[in-house]
Amino acid sequence: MARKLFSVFMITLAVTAAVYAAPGKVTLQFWSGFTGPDRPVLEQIVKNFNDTSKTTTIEMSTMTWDVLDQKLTASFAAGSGPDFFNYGPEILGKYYNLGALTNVDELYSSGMVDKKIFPKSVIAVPVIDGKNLAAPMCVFDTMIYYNKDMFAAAGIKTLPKNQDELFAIAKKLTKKDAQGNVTQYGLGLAYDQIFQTFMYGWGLDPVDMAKNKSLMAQPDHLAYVQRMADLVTKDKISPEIASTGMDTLFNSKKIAMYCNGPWATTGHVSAGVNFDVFNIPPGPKADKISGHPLFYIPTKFMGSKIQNYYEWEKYWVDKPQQAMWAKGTGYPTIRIDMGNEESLKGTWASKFSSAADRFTTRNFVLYQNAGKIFDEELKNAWEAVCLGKATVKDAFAAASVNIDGYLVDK
Amino acid sequence: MATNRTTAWNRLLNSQKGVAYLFIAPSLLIISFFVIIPMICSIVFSFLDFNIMFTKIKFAGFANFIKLFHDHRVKGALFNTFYFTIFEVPLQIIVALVIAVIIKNQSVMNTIFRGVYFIPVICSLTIVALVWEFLLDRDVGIVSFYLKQIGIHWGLLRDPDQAMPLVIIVTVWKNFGFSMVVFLAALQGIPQSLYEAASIDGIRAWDRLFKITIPMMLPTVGFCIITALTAAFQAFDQIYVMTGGGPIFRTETMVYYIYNMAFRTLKLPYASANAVVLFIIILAFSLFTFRRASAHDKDY
Repeated sequence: MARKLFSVFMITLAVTAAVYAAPGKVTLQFWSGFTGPDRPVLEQIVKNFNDTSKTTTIEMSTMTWDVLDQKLTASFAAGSGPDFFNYGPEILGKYYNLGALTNVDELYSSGMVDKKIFPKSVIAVPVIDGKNLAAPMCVFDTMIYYNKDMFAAAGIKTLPKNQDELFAIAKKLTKKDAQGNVTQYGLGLAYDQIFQTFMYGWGLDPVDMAKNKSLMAQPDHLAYVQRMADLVTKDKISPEIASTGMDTLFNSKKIAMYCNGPWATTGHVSAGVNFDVFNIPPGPKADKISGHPLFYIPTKFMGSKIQNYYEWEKYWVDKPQQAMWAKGTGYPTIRIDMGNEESLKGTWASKFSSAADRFTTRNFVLYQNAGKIFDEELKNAWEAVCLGKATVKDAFAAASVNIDGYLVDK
Repeated sequence: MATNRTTAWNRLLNSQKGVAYLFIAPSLLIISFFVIIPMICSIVFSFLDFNIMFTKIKFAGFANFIKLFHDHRVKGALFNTFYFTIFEVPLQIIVALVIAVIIKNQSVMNTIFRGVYFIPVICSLTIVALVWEFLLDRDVGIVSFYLKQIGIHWGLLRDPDQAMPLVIIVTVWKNFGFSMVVFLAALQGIPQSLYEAASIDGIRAWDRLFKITIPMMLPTVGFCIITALTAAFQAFDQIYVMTGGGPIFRTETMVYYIYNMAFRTLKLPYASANAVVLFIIILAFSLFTFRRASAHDKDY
């Protein structure tokens, strides 16, 4: 009996020793800014990865984009931070200039991930000076959300095919009371969409990339901004500034149409809005910019764990994970070979995928001060015009001078 | 050796000063770590030029300070900071003082009111600001809804002339409860004999307030002004949530601008120079207020 007990004890000891002697899994710290309905889906995919990977564990921390931005700055300065994080391409320029981003060329050169599965824009976005400085995460186009009941009430049966038709419909959908106060806006226009979506779609770039100069004081640009300002200040198709956000106004049935990405679908469904989406009508040049959230790998923290990261990237872009992501969030899949995926038919993702062939990008966001140009100078000038504090010419001439100053830091 | 150490330790324990230093040592350590060292770092950074990876470190002299004096955004932010402080602090003190005097007597209703007025103080400023942002929204806010009922169509937070006054009102609503509680405690400390003597001399209630209550409370008022001033000069959360510094930068304060420079533009040395200037301003105002309040600190 004693010998049997001793044997059992020795076997248990051996098994325990074997388990603990096995090489431990490498842990990667992952900071994510996806806090909306996409959060649980991403968390589930990370959990599934952790369950299946024999070599890597991902510890994911989720925070709002503002907090992430703030924590990244502090972490880069302090020298401790995540092994990888997600963010839009607008920070590429500023972190590239600091030499803070890992070159991930090996992801493709080693054959771990095939570039051909991605739309061209996904491959093009993170490249600066010929180097891949971030890995693909997802891609999306903003589309126009519209309230079907309001369309029906206004007798609108066909969707607009160009900007002129869109603005004509927006005017038709705008309602005012007897005193002339707006009770329903036709189209919510956020400042960033005016410049990045509508004006750019019209073929007018705020910046001449070749000459590194602002174009906002050019007559064509001023005329276009004036047209948009008239739509807001005279025709009142949109609030001048929406402090609570256009999505809240759409949920409150205060606006009939507005632009947003796929993440808003869940909120509007919960709010009971009878809505659908359509592609933003193109301008004469049919230009637009798609959204490209990326995975960034800071040089400072990743070190030798890069192979573990590649394992995650390979897992992330695989079809089952992409299908799960698309179904759960409404984002299109990042793969161009999943267009006919049966499981995605009838989902929001399939509607947002309808624009997938048009995913485009440009390198303007790679400027170190792209954020300041859009979020401060153009926003400030637009607000001043809409609030009657300045003319289009004065506001954008001043903004143009400041933008030229920012463009020096390319 | 061990005996020497024991003797030194005993000497420390036997001296009144030594024990005092031991008591304050833990908090001094924490304050040094989280306040004094970062403050010194900030002062040092303001004279340097570097990126957030701490590479290419160069001595910049006063370049960051010279730059900020030519920065129109700094001028605007300083103006907004003073605007906020000049209106928020007196309003907060006056509201707190008036309410403290009204509800100073012990009664069930006064106890309830004290609790109610103090509730905003214990709430998170971010959450309070979020709630007010919705209440004050021009299109979906309840304040705007009732204003429209009586024919007033204001832009509220979207109006550059109304945004800052509204932020000030929300801040006063959030903070006056703290000053009120301090004033209530100070009111209890005023000797009753002074009021009795005044009553015998036939002094009216109004005169009692201005000749006994307020003069007796001046040191406490001074303390409340210093804490309110410091908080007002550092206003950030409510602005960040309610207006984001807009419209057209009309609510952008110094701290908001410093945050923007440090965390969005990654210009840490320049942000540090701005922080040093703000520190000097707060220090000057606090010292001035402290000296004025101390001058009235008398024992009765």
